[in-house]
Amino acid sequence: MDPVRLRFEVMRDLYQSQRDRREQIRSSVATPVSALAFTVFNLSTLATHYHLEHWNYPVNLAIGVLFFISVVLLLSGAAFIINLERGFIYVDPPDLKELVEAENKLREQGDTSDEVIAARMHDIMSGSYDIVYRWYFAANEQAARDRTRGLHLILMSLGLIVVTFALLPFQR
Amino acid sequence: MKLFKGLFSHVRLHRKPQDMPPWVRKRLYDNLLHLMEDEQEIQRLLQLPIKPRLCIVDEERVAMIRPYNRNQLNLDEQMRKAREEKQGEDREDDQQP
Repeated sequence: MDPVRLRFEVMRDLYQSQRDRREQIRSSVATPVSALAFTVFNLSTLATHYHLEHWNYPVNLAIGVLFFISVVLLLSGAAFIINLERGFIYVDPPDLKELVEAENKLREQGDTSDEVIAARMHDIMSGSYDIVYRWYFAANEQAARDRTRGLHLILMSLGLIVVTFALLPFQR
Repeated sequence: MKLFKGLFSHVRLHRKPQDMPPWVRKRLYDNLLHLMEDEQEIQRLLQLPIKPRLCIVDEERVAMIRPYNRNQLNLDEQMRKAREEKQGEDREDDQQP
């Protein structure tokens, strides 16, 4: 295999791997969303059992504070999950019209042999795939980080609810 | 009514960046200027006679700038501002040791 072809295939594979990874990250958002729904259900159960009229009793106060922190953590987690799909700018390889124009420009510049033009076009595509790969990579890393942070915050919220449930029998 | 119209609208093809609100255009143009830098780097690296020109897409707004649409953007005031800001940033980067 000649080096031009090798460069092209390596960069195309990297680009496609990042496209697939993006779809995986998008589909894995279902996990934090399910955890979020479960946490909301638990918060509503806790709210119905909480005696607000004795809020100044230490255990009731502790339950109230933990409940509030849990809601804040849950909303912060939800914000990370919503942010995951927002505001991303993607780049894609040149479209067909651009490729035809690039080929015509190369012919105008004196590269008349089909082999030379094919090699140049392969290099143009390798370079394009390289740029797209790097942009996708950065966007995917950020999306994966936001998803994990969101999930962690929701799980922390769930953990606090567990502690709050343990305190519930001691409230006045 | 305008909100419902926006929610249920479908586009046949990508929208033009000129039809987008200023903050979306700014986001697109800032990224486009960085993309053009990357394209120049690739041209230098592979010693290409012409620059590879890529498409840039804002998925949230279904807006796309295709390579041959770039010339039309020079007439947009927002693009001029984005260029000036980018030049200012580049100058600051050059001055830093």
